[in-house]
Amino acid sequence: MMETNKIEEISVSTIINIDKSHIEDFIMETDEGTKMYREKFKTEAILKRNKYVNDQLTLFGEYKKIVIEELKIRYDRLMPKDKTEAYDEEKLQEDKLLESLILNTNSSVSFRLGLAYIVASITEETTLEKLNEYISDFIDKFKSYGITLGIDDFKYTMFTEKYMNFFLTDSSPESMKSVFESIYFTCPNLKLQLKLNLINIISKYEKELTVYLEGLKKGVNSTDGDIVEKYVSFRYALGNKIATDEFYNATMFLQETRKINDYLDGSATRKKNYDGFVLNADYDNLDQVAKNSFNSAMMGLYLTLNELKKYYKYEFIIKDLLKRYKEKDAAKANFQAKKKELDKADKDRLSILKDYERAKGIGFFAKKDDVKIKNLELKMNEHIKVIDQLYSEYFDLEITNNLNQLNESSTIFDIFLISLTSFEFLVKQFSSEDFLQNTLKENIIEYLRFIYNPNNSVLRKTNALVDFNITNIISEKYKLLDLVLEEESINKDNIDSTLDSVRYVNLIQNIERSTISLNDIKNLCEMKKIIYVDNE
Amino acid sequence: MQDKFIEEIKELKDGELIELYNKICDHISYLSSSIIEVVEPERTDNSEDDEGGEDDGDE
Repeated sequence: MMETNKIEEISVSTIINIDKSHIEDFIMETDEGTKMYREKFKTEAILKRNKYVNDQLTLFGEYKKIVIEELKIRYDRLMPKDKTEAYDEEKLQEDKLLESLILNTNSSVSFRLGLAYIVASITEETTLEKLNEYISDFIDKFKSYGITLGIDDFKYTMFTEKYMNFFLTDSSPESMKSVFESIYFTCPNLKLQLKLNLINIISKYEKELTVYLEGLKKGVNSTDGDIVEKYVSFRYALGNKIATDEFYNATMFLQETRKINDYLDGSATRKKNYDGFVLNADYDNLDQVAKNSFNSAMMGLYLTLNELKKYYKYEFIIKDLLKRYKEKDAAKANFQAKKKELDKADKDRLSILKDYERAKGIGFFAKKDDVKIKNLELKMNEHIKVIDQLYSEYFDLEITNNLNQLNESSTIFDIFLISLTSFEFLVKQFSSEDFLQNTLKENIIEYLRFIYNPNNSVLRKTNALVDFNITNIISEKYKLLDLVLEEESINKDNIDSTLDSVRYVNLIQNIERSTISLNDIKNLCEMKKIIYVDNE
Repeated sequence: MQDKFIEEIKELKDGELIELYNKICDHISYLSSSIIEVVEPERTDNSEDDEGGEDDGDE
């Protein structure tokens, strides 16, 4: 009503009203005179009226231009600034904090220093070019820790020694290709041998690597509090800034990803989405206190459902670990026994190598024996398969054994943390088809981001070692907060559609918490249409 | 006139300005539809034409 009045007060409104009555009241015909006179009168009246209309069209064309110019100024003034660059910088800081956090986890030294990723990259499918690249990265990483790897470190088998002898002197692709081909016929599992060699090097330098890691931790842990807390609060603050960012939220509507009219007060879509979670199915009828508590509960629900959706993605890890938990007692003894077996197998490897050197005529009273050389090469190849199998059993027992660190009150979050204690366990978990679109590192970083999500309160509070039903826990919690939330609506099949409705409400809440209103966004959308669409 | 208009619209809120824009567009449409096509009468002051058009009676 106010708006109409104000517009009515503008001189143009008066002109519009005058125009209408002037045009409607224009005398177009006369009863007087001859037919010819009457026709002439009419033609002249039309021409006269048309002239008036054309003059007014020119005038209003000018008014239109003036209004568009003013709208352009206002659009630029109202349009929020794009802070993407600032956020990108903050995201880099967040990534650095996550890297620091990883240094402080209870995972292996090689995982924390990133060496484990290089080792895990070597598989049967690895090309020769990639293999050499990974070995180079491995050597460079050690160099950055102040450790220069030499040929002695690569005397894991007679084949790794031969290959690395060339690699360390001339690692050109042509040269390495011919070396690889020459070794391949006597050692078809050279890639595996090199991989085990790298694992062996990590174990050999474990003490030095730990010292280096402690130095790194001292550098990042400095004085300002616990690194996990620091990461979580930084991420929470950044997430909050992005969620309430005026530019991002306005852009969603300006690019028509969402329709502004569906979000305005009084829209049917808005009513449907809000009422769906209200006990008496009528949000508008709630008093202000009830509205406030509804809004607060809905904000919590949005974060919880996002957490739950991610949980579904990684639920298989919890299931696997809970199954293993039942075998944890037996795993303790078996793990120690397997470690001894592995140590013994490694000693056997060294004695094969020693025999090999003697067969080559190296050492006192040693005589070159070609048949023995051949036999020992074959023996080594077979023995490497045994070691590989032992490692696989060892790592499998390692994760089960680590579950002994849990206690009766351990939460789902604690179990996820245990999963980080075995890099090889994670490699296995993320080798399924669902994770193939990303690299192992990307998958693990995303998993870490999930674990250290600032909003994963349900995972941190739910006891994992008693029977639990996560959808029931969440649904009951929000029922206590007077929200309508059926268990079925948040199961794996239905969570997406429920999340859509919650996300809808959350977007309105985020806009209401920001410095731009839905009405401002509506104006921006209309201004944009006028400036860039209607008048292009 | 235009200066006054510019001053006036500065006082309007964003929503009001958009409304005014729509009002101006509506009026432009109204004006455009108000233009009448001029149909020249078949008989003008030329007498020769008058003769030829005898049967175009008034009935």
